[in-house]
Amino acid sequence: MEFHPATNGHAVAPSAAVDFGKSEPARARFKRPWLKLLVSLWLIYHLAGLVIAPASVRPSSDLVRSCWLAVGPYLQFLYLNHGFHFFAPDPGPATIVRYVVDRPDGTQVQGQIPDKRTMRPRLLYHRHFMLTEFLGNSDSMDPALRQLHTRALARQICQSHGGQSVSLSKVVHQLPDMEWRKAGLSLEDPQLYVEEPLGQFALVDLQ
Amino acid sequence: MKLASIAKSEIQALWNGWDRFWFDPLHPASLGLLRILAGGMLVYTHLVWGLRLSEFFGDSGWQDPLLVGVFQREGTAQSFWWLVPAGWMWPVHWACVAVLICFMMGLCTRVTSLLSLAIVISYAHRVPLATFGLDQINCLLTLYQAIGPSGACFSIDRLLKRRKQAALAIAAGATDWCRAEPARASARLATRLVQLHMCVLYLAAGLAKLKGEAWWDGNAIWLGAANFEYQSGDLTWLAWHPWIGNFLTHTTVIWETTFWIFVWRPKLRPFVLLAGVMMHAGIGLFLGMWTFGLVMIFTYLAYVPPEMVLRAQARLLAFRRATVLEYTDRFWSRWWTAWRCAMFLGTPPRLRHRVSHKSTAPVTAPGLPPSPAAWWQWVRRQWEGAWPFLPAEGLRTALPRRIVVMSSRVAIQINLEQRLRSRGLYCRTAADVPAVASTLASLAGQCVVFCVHHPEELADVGALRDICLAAGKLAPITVTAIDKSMFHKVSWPATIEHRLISPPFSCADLLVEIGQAWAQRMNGEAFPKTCLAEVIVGVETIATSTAANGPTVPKVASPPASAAKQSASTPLPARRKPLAKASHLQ
Repeated sequence: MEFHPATNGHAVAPSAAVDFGKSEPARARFKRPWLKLLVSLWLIYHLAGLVIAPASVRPSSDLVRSCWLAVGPYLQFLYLNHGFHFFAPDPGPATIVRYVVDRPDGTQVQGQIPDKRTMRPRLLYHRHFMLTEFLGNSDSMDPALRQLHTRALARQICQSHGGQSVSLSKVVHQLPDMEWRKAGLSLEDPQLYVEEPLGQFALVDLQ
Repeated sequence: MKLASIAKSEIQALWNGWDRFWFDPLHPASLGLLRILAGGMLVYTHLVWGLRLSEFFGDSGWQDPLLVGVFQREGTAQSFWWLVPAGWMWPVHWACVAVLICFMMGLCTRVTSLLSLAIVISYAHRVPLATFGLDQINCLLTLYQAIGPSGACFSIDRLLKRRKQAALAIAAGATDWCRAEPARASARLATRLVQLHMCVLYLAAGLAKLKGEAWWDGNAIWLGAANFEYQSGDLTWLAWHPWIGNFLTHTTVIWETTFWIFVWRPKLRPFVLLAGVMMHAGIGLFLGMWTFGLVMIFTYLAYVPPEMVLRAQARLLAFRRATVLEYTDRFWSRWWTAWRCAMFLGTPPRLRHRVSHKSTAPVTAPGLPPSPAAWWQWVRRQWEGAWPFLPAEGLRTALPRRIVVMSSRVAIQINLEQRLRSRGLYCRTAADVPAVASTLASLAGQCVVFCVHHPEELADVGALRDICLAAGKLAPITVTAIDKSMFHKVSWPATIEHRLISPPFSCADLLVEIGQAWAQRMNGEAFPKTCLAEVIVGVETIATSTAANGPTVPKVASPPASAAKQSASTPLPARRKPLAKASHLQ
């Protein structure tokens, strides 16, 4: 018998000898054909949903919208209902919200959402930025949704600054062209900001 | 009939292709690395939610239930946050972060991956107006990692599995214990899903851009750079170099719309992915969305073959050479050795059972505790040989106790090492010259045994011998075991500090050679010649006192008791013959 230092020369049980140190372990496959078939059917449905989701973003055909009815609930449940329209069709101007909060002691607090100086880290800034971007994109949406969103913004701003009322305005920061920059003008030039008042909100009406 | 058979064969071929594409087993290394990176991003994302938790998730925050309800009406969006009372928000949030950390580290991954998926979906559905691309990618990566065996590699689960394998190997007395993680069909399935999802994503993004004017006239990159709210790095210098912006705009559209074609071509894949990395790094640097840019880059791991990940891991851990871990019969020794095996990075060490004949506690008179001196002697015995800096006492402890055996044959390494260790000598093995050279600094006054198996190895051993001897008084004693048939090729003679020995030789022969060399060296300095015989006796005594403890240790003939009292006039015994045929090394 060949000398085996680990066992001090004693014979090793065959099972132990083959169980350890395998360099090429068994390759795990699907053992049940019906499971593979089920998974394949799910794959077809899932992949169809992934393709239909971006295709159903308007403008889209009736066919695609009909297909969306079949896959939409599934995709929405899994949070996969996305169009992936990053910076499309065109990179648009940014929307910010400026506010003036009136406190009970008569003082006022001014600010804007989002604010790079106070909202850190950058991800937190982007979370707030998405809120105002949604307001900028909500012109074509349900007016009730836009109103609810505006009221939620006003209420949260009032609460966070201890105010009793707040006036909001939506500000669209227009994108300048290259000539603007070459003329030496800044990206923060006041001429680039287009302000639209959203109204005055009292906290008691927002609760 | 013929048509039916053709159709059947075509369908069969189609199914085989589908089967190979989706279910051909794949090693989960890439998936494991993806889990760490994507899991880290999940943890960070949710920690940032915690900075303003009540503002975003409170009932009177930025998104109250009525607003979200109207936004998601007639949908299937679900979130556990609707069930969480206001007072439980923080405990639930921290519990979610804890689950995500467990998922990232690969603890109970099968469970924590599913829980993480529920968490990611619930957070996104609770605050739909504050989410963006980062949350979409987070969600899809978590979903596919919950499908695949994402915890099979680089995880705590894997660590525990390795520990179990080592414990079983110890119980069975095996030397090799580590079993590589098998390739799995579910790993292929999850990887393919990530790959295809990214293809759909980029194609949709590219086609959507084609609807915009700015992506055609080349101004889109400038418009992104001129957006002050996004800007984190100044790119407005593009105004003076419009062609750069135009080029980047067109390149982006072409790259996104053709990603799904070229990324499947093995030769083009590195370039396609490199372009993607550059694009997303640019988004992170100049548009401030480094989280989104990073998570998009993480998805590219699905396109990296697991063999490449394993190769990179092996290169990173190349400094961890294969070694041998010893264990005794004690419970704690076995338990700790199993954990050491599990936690050992790099090439898995081999296991070796050692008879713990030196671990007996100091013995004193019955009923009396051991004296401090006895305890100190016992502690010294534990460390003797393993710790080279303890002051030597007497001749026997002055003998070289640390021996490095260099042999290109693993069997020789293990055999010689086991026998030397059974004699209480500290022994290390090395497979090549660099391994010995790297330990030369710690070999002062010790010993190196070279085993030459091929004439080609002579040059290396000769060079290393010269290096050893160049150290002067601190040079280690070197013993070269070389077959007589190769003696005529040796250009360097035996010296006091360099011995030649030819197989077959026993371990005792080797010790005698070492002892003689040591004694001659000491004699040249301040060592009394009268002690020369004692050196040999000392070697013999060591061998004799330990030989009976191991069943495989060869029995060495004990010298006569009077040998220790031999005077200086006693002639030095000549080179001893092999003492036991069974102990021959070759």
